[in-house]
Amino acid sequence: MKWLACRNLTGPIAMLFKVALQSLLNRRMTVLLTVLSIAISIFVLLGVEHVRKEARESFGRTVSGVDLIVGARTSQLNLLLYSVFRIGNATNNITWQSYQTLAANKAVAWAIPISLGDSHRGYRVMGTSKDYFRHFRYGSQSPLVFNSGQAFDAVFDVVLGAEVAKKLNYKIGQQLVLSHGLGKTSFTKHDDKPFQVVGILEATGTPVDQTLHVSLAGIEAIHIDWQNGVQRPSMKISAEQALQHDLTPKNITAFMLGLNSKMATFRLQRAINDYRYEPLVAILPGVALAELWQMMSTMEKVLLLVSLLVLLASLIGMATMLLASMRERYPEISVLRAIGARPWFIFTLIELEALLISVAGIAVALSALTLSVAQLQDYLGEHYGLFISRDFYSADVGFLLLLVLIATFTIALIPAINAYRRSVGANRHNS
Amino acid sequence: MVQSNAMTQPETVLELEDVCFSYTNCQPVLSIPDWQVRAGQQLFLHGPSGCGKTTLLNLLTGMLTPSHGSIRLLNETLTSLSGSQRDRFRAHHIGVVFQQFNLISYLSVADNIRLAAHFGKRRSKNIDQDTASLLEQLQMPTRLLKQRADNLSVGQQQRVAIARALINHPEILVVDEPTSALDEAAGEAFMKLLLSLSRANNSTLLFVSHDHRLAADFDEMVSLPELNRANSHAV
Repeated sequence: MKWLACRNLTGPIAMLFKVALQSLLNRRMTVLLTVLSIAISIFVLLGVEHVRKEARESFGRTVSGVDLIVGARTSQLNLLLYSVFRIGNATNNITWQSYQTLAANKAVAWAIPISLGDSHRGYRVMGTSKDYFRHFRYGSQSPLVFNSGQAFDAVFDVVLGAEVAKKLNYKIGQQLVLSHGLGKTSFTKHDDKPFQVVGILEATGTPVDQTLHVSLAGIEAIHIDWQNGVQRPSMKISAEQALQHDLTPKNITAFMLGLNSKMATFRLQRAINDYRYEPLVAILPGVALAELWQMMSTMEKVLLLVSLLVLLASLIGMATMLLASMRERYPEISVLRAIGARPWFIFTLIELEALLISVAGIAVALSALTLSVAQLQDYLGEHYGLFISRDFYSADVGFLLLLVLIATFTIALIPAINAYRRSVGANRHNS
Repeated sequence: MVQSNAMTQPETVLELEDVCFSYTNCQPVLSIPDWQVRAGQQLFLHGPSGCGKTTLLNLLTGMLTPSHGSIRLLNETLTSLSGSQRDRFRAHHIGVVFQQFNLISYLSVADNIRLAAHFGKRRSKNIDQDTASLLEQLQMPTRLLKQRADNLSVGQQQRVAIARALINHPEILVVDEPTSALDEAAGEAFMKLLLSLSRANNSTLLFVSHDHRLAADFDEMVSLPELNRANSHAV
């Protein structure tokens, strides 16, 4: 009994699939092009969605537990981007004096100074204090963890982010030279003062992975014989000599503050913004991020709309293709009707062909997306501090794909109803 | 020895009563007050083009329904069945051979026949064996089964169409100008095979053509213009 029921169920469906597949294979050139056009539009749609979501995720994950970020007066977005995401440059430095004054405020629990401007083979170098490893948090309050070694101690010690160590294949104890400026191929190297790798951090999926961390004294030491951005040959100072100097920094780029009580945040922010001795700005990372999202959201909506329109265009292209093929398929419909196929069979056949084209398009798009996300991952991380995960399958993607299939079905109603009408009407075969 | 069914009065397979059909409401294309066909008969339905042949065949196969009147096929009143019931009835009881384009071009010969068997609900029972035997009777090599239908010559395609039409052992075989795309020799060979196979299958054969020369071997010839009263006022 069960077996019989099963046969009855699979029989017609298997037959329908077979006819639909053979029919598509018969027109493989047009079908292939249609599949490609749908694949490209789904690729764009899912790609945009994935990058959008991952960008938010990645940005939101980068900093947590920091109450205020302070820098020279600029827009809050600019300060956030250069201090946390290593995107763009500081407009101005702030004095060590200001930092010390503000860090000593009784509302402040901890302070992390940041000094940027140098690089190593395209990766940015950040001068900071040991407090950075103690207080900095990312993701959901995760602290930085050492994969090997420990925090810097000596002036010429460096701690590498996970990605830097992996990509450049550095081990503890190795020596490296920092470059002046941020270019990947900088011609001005601090090669007279090499640094030694003393620690490598665990991967965090944030710009920390792409950063080399040195002490502020280290930053000071390599610039001790520099003035206005150039090394002055007349007053060259060797690494050993540099250690004899006072290596207290005169300037830093920005600093992060953790407060004893959240309640004090706004009060302190106002105090810093009104700081009398220097034009400073203090931002709340969350608020600045929200501003960023607000700016991006219009752009995101436009992108989403464009990708939906591209999808609609390719689905209409598919419907056009199916509709155009109807004329040549009329004898086929007559034959199917003559051997007893119901008009619904014809209707379902056309719908099934459309859905098979879309499913093939989805399969191609997903494979292409898997490949390109894997390819783009490193690039986006290195160049934009954007960490997108390889795993783009989510409920949202499932929903979008379901939407694609529903749209396919709906648009394929045009050729399917056309075929249905033809098959219900009189058979004027051969005439 | 006398066969028993020859003794009894042959039953009627087809009965048209007061059938009228028009595509639009104004002018009837077809009007047949009364017409019967006996079981097992091989009937040549003659008519020039444009006299409503194809319309009649579409009515008989249930693809069209008459404006009024009743059509009875095999004791089933076709005109009172629903569309899907008519489709099922056609699949089970009627074999159709068209002028040309009888096969789905992108399917293999075997799949074309299998598809007809599928709609005729003869899915599991020795279809492949029946197909092979039909092909043999049609004097075609079985290696053609794997070929795509449009790889065959037109003559071969028309013969496969007979096999396709007979796979469900239909009581009625409806054939519409099947030789018009064939040359004379192929046409003659086709007619011989068609008549002998429909007889072997005990099918009632309704053969429509404008070509008198094909009528020779049929039991009876009916002229459609005489049958059809729709245009009688014009004659």
